[in-house]
Amino acid sequence: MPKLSTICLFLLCLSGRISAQQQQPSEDDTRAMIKANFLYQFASSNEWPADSKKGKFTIGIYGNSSLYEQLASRYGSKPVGSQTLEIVELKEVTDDRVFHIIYVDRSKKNEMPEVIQKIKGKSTLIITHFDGALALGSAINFREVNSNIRYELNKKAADDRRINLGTKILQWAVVQ
Amino acid sequence: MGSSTMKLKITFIALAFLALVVNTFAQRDIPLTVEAIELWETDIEGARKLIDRAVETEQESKHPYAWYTRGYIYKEIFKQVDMADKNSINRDIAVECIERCISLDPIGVYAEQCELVLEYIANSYWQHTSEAIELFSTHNSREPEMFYAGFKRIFLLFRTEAELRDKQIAFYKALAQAHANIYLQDVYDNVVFINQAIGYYIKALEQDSLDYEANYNVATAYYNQGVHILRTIGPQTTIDDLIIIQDQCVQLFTDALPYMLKAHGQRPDRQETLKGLYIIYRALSDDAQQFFYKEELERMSREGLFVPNKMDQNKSPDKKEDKRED
Repeated sequence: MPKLSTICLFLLCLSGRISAQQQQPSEDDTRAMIKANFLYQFASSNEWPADSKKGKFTIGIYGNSSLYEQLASRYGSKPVGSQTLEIVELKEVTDDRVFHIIYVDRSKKNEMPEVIQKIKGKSTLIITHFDGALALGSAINFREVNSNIRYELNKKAADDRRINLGTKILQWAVVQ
Repeated sequence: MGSSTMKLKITFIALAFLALVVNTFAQRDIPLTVEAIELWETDIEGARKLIDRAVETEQESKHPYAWYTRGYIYKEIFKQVDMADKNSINRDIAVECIERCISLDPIGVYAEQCELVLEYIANSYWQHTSEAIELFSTHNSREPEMFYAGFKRIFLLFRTEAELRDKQIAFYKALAQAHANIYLQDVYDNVVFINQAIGYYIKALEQDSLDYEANYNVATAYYNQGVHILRTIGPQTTIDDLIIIQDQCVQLFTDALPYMLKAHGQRPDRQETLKGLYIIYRALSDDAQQFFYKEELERMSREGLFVPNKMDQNKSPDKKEDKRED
């Protein structure tokens, strides 16, 4: 008959073979992902004057590499009406090239007057993400509302540059 | 001290004598059982037939040792003949016999032997649970819980709920991980699995709300689910959809936050929780908190204050270099 010692030989301790591994949070810049889509919406839902509908549709990103990467990788070469989207990361804003949209990040806030000066007379939509940007001449400014990214508008700034803001863009804007 | 040692010795001798007396009587009262015992090492099938007959007789069916012996022999059949097959019926029969022995043995003469058989069987269920988790797929998704239920039932025949706790936590966390892995195979079609994974982590947290790994993994599961949703947005997304998607993601990021804070509270010396908090606050557009945790991350890294994480072996395949601060 089985003796204690014999049984003990058969025993396996309750080993810890069951174990869990640890996941890692994705390091994607979620805010850049959302803002990149907004920029694409602004490009495709607003109306530029006829003389801006030739060649490529260009968006310049000033001061936000992460946003540039998101935009270039997900939306680069995609159509905007009959034009093809081109994304450029700007080291500085100059007046020798015309952009349909220039995004000015909060890190370049102090250069905003100079940017406005450089695009004077051009149909360039200035989009920003810092407090008080609309007063400085931005047409669309991102804002955080309950942890969401939304935007506020300066319709006059867009009108002055002959850019007609789309119905949906107007509809979703938050009140200043 | 000397007196208590003496008392222990006397108790031990008395118990040994009692066991001897019981065995002597047993041999006279349970002849078929004794015959089965003598046979089992050389002819296990013959021993099985004998012990089956023994427990059908009126006299031996009332004897706990007959049931213990039958349980032991069936356990051996499960082990030696069935090769511990997960579907073996003999394992269940062994447990039934041991339970019968326990019910006929109120003073626990055979308690120790019964416990050893139960422990072996509980371990076999644990191993099968482990294997079912390792091979977890959409086709066997019920198996881990089925085997774990077997383990738990048997474990609690000889151990307490308190002693089960660590096993239960390990089981829930491993099952959560298995579900999370299925989700990662297709983060869009298998969303149900990440929600189930979160559910199992939360069950582990119900056992121990301060379990570091469960807190960290719940936070990560919520957060990554939000990121995976955001990855679906593209040129085809309308602004209406974007607004809805953002609301959905912010909710997931908000859900992730308390768990990451709790994990950080448990282990403030871990790099991954600081990074997690920085990333979550960034996603929630909370600049003050985001910069605070980023600075902490940089400071602790600079000062070499982080404790390496042994668990950190499953880096996200889609990890990217964080280029800038927003």
